[in-house]
Amino acid sequence: MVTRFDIMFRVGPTSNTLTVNYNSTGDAVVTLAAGLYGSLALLCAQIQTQLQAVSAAFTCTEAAGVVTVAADQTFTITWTARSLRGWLGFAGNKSGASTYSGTTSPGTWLSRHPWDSDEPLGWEWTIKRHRGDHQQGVAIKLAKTTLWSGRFHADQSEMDQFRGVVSYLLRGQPARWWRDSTVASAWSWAEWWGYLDVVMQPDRRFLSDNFADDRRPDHLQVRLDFVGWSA
Amino acid sequence: MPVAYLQSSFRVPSAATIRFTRDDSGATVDWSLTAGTVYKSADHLAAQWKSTIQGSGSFGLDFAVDVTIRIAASYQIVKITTGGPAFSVDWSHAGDGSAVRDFLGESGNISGGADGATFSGAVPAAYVARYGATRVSRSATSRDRGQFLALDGTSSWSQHHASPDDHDTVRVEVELWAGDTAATNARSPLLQLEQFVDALFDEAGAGEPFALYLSPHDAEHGVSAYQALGGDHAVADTDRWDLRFAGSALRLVPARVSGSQPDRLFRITFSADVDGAAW
Repeated sequence: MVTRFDIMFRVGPTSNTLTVNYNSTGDAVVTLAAGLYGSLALLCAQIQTQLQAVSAAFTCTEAAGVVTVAADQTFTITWTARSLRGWLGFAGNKSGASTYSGTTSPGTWLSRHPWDSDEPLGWEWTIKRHRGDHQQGVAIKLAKTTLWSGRFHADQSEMDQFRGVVSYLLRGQPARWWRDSTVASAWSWAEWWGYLDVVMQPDRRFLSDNFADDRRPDHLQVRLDFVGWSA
Repeated sequence: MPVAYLQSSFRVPSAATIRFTRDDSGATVDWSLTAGTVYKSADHLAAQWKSTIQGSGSFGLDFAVDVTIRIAASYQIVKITTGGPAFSVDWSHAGDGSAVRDFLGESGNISGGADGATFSGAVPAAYVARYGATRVSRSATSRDRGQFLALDGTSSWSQHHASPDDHDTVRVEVELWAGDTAATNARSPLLQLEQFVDALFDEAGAGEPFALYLSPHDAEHGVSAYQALGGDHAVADTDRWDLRFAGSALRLVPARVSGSQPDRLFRITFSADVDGAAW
């Protein structure tokens, strides 16, 4: 099954605007709602919602990490927020067409290979313990985190994109891990392949990728360990 | 293959009198629990209740109540066998018996319970590793003591337990194999394991130490097949340890056993301190 990662993107005061000129009707500043967007698709949906305040003909969609902004007439895009522009895979302002597509978003990675794991799920409970005399004592639960891990496989052509996504994870940014990209619902015991919102386990400070097989230096495998995360 | 199972101990949080009634005759037996009393496990608690009922003499010779924790899948459930008559249970006949009720997996009073009825839910703070414990090994033995050494090297002292009867601290390494051959139950041992540890710390009256039983039940053919041969998990050939998880960060990460069907068999390992000698 295809797995996918979406690094979450936070829209804030420096990343919340773009300017469009639809069918030469004049510049219109589009402002996105502030917040943390759990996936590129959710960010595109927000952009589309705000663009449609300019014209109902606007769409903003993503497929395999590539964003497309389209309308029924020509329009221009002037990026006033460079971080947003880069996240959507665009390198510069756009004009003279009715459809624009970027390159793959730096926060998205899709694998051609299935992932696997020897230890797919675990937990860590933090316990406050007092041990008294004569074997008497008490223990209370302070916190609980859920642990996830997977071993991921990438071809040579995927490595740059993959390492870029992992670099965000290593910085502690949350991500949505689509364990099976065909499953749109969240993980539950009844939906084992549902997506998870995760961050890298805090004790992970570096990435070590290895050749899966010495005879195949074009194929790497990486184990990633996560903890469950919620906003 | 033997079964291993874990059960929380139970400290009675508030005094209660639980009334058991034989419906056909109306005869009753009251089981009074004193706040603060500690039972080593759910098995221990159930055995005490059974003993109270059977020892009361109120039911006549034709009536024997068997309150037993039954193993089913990765959880345990209480089953009451009366030999025929229906029964009723009032958990808070006096005081508050709700914690006992919840600990044993029931949600309300029982009225007209049939012979052989099981409680409405599983025992929350219990966990069954259907393929046993492949390892319960002692890794260290130590005796708690305080020691002081003056920096100038002129004096030192140490303090040991006041009583020579105190136990040594024994660290054991436990490895359980848990799984389910039914596809519909794949990964259910993981769910049950998480619920067990949560209940161990969250359920009223539950908590460490917990008991680890090694029972000669046949996991494939179930408890009934074993008991048909005269077996019962309370017999002396069941091993039990009273344990506390070691350390203040309890990390449980079940590992898939290579060569098994995907998600049907997991290896669970943890360190624990023994609270008392095995028996």
